[in-house]
Amino acid sequence: MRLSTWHKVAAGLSSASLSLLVIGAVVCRSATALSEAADRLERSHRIFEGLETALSETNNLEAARLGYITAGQRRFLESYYAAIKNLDQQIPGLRKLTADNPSQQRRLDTLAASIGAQVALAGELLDLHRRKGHEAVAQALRAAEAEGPIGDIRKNIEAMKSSEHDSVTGSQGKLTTTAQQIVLVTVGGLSLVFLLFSLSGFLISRELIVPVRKLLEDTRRRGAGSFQDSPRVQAADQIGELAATFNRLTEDLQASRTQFAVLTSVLDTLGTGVILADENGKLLALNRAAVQTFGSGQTQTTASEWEKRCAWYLPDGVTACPRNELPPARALRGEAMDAVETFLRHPEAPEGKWVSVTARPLEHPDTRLHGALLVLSDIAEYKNTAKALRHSMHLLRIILETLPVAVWVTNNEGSIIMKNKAAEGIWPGAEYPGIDQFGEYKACWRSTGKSMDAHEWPLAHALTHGEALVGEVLDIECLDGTRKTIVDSAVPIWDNSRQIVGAIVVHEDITELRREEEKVKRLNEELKRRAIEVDAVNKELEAFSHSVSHDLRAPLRGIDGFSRALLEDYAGKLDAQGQDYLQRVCAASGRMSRLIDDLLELARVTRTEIRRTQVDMSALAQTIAAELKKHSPERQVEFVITPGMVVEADPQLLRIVLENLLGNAFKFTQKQPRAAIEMGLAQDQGKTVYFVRDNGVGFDMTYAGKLFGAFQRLHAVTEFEGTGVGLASVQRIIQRHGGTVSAQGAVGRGATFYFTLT
Amino acid sequence: MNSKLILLVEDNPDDEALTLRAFRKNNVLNEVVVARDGAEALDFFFGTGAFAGRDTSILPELVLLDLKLPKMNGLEVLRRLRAYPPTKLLPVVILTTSKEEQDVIEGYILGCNSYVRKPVDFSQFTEAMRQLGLYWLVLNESPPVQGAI
Repeated sequence: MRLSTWHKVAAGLSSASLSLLVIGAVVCRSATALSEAADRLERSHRIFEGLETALSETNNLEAARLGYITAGQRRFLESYYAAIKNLDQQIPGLRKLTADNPSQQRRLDTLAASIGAQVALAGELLDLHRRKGHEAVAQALRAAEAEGPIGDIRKNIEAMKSSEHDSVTGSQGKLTTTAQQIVLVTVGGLSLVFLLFSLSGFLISRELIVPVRKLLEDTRRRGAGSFQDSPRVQAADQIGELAATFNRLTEDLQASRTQFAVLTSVLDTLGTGVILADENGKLLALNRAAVQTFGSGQTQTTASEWEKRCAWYLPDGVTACPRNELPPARALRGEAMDAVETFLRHPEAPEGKWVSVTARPLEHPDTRLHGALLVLSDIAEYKNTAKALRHSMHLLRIILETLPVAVWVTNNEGSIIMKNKAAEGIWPGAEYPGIDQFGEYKACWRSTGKSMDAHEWPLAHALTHGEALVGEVLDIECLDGTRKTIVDSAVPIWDNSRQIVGAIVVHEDITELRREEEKVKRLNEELKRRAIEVDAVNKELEAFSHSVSHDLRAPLRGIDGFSRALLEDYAGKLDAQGQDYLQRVCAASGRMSRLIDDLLELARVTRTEIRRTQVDMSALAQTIAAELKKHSPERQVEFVITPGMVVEADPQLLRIVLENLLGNAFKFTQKQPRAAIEMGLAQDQGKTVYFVRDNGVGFDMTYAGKLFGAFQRLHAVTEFEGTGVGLASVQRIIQRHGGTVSAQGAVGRGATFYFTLT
Repeated sequence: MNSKLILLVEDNPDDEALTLRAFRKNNVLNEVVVARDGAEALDFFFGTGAFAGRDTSILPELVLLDLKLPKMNGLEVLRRLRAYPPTKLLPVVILTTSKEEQDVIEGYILGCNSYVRKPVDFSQFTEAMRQLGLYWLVLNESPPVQGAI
């Protein structure tokens, strides 16, 4: 069986104590013995003293006797008597002192008897001296001495002394032995005790102090927060238990620390600031976000410094928060605050920041902790979002109010939560308290004229079936009896979980529009009718043109043909005048034929569809100029045509325009010895204006208005031939191209024709 | 040369007279048969109506076809001639007063060989006839006669 340290130490200490007790007892007893021995020695000493006194008195006795015998004086006798008396007086003392020593008592008895005999003798001698004088006495003394009493006394005393000396010697030996015993016991015992104490001390040191010291060191280290390279404290027994407990506590502490570290890192990773303050407002803990919010200078502050370091403002962002209303103060007072918007400003955030503060008083029964917990969220983004939202809402409001259509937003029960001004205009006084009440609003389908049930409203559809109905045309009767035609659209609003949370209804009042539409419809029908008429007229015109080109020409050919036949076959039978008349008939028919051709041309440019392509007008003009010059090689005409005039136009029609304009210029410059014809372009008010200029006969601006009319001529046929249709065709073509044409000139100073194309 | 027959489809007696005069003046001495409307022109080829009993195997060397004709217009006559195998390849020159683009296009689509507008001026008209006769009766090689053989 293994003894525990405690048992060992207890056993050691008990043994040591017992040893001490034994040593004490032994020493005590030895001391008693010593004391007794000392008493005896003392007594022996006194006995020696008494005996020495007795011896001295004996000597005195002897001296007195001898003196008396010699001198015979009474004084010796008296000294003798005094000595024997003194001697006798020693006897009781000695008897007492030697009461425990029978042999001494016996010797004392003998002595006492001897002394007693001497005392009696001395008395007799004194008396004898007085009576008989000195001789008698001296004789008696000698006689007595013969018997040797004093020597006996002396012998007895010496015997007692010797006996006492032996006794003293024995006592002294005993005393020495006892003292040696004491020393031995004491030294041995104490050594043993020392040994036991040392052993216990060693045990205590090894089993108790070392582990305790290690525990202490570990405790200090743990206290300092170090959990590394610390081996477990190993010890047995209670200390072992203590160590185990300590280790367990250490593990717990380490676990707690780990938890705390985890908690701290979790707190630090939080975007939300967390602050823990004690009952005095001193900060116990604050995470990184809180440091960011409050600034690093805030970490070690106390309650009184909270408002010094940092300015708190009420949710309006302007009014300073009263001291006793500060979130920490309120929380410390035991009040809870939930997500109160606060504006903070401190040296590290001079521009200030918006935070949402949640404060709680801290009461934890387990920890006896009293204080405050503050949770701070940076709501700058939220504020920005809120601002953006307000802006969006404002925009939405403006848009809604600006919209010419009525807009309602309802909740999922059909109750209006938002509407615009136009909505009030279409349905004055409409409240839409819910789907059930939709029946109060009268309407019928425009397409069928059937009256509409409450559940048929697009809004009801949107809310109950989640279907969007768009563009339903309804005739409604407002609450005040007004009748309107509206276009009703309703779309459901879904939330993220695909639940219908409301609907948007849009009503467009098309009453006026419908009226306009009907008017337009009527106009359109009228227009269609007219178009058909125009179409018919056009067809007639076409037939007419056809007839003209065919039927009018045939007789002309007859007139011309037979006139010429007459001229050829019957020339001899006609005089000069007759032949002249026939020549005129031919000329007239020729002019009429040209007229017909020009008329047909005019009709054609009016009717043909325009096909625009890119046309190099400069090249076209050059071609026409070349043709003109070829036809009249005898004429001196200079054409100056600006190159690169490219336009978007119908090439056939543009050719007619240029043929007419250039042809006119050519024609009306025929009397110029040096004709100059220029074609170019100019910019006028951002538009490109093309022109054809000649230095011909020109015209009187008074008649400029007549230039472009059909069959209008400003010159006599005899002077310049022509039908008066060419410029009319030009105008028609330019107009059909979306352009304008104009002319400028003066008589004898040439003419300029301007035209634009779009 | 007399064997080469010309069919003139012309309703206007003035034009007929002028055409014939022009041929004569230009020494075009071929026999000219005149049909005065569209139906009559077809009668000539089918040997019906006014031309009943005619030897339809004899085909003209050239058809001068006016467009504006009573009863059946020239384009319809042309269409029928082109649908009828013996006259499918027959040289047909449209000789008309009309200058309408539509008529010209239609004429060529239906397979006319030439489109000539009658000039109002008589001398020009005579010249045109002269050139026609020279070209179609002298220069041009006619297609071999089919069907009728």
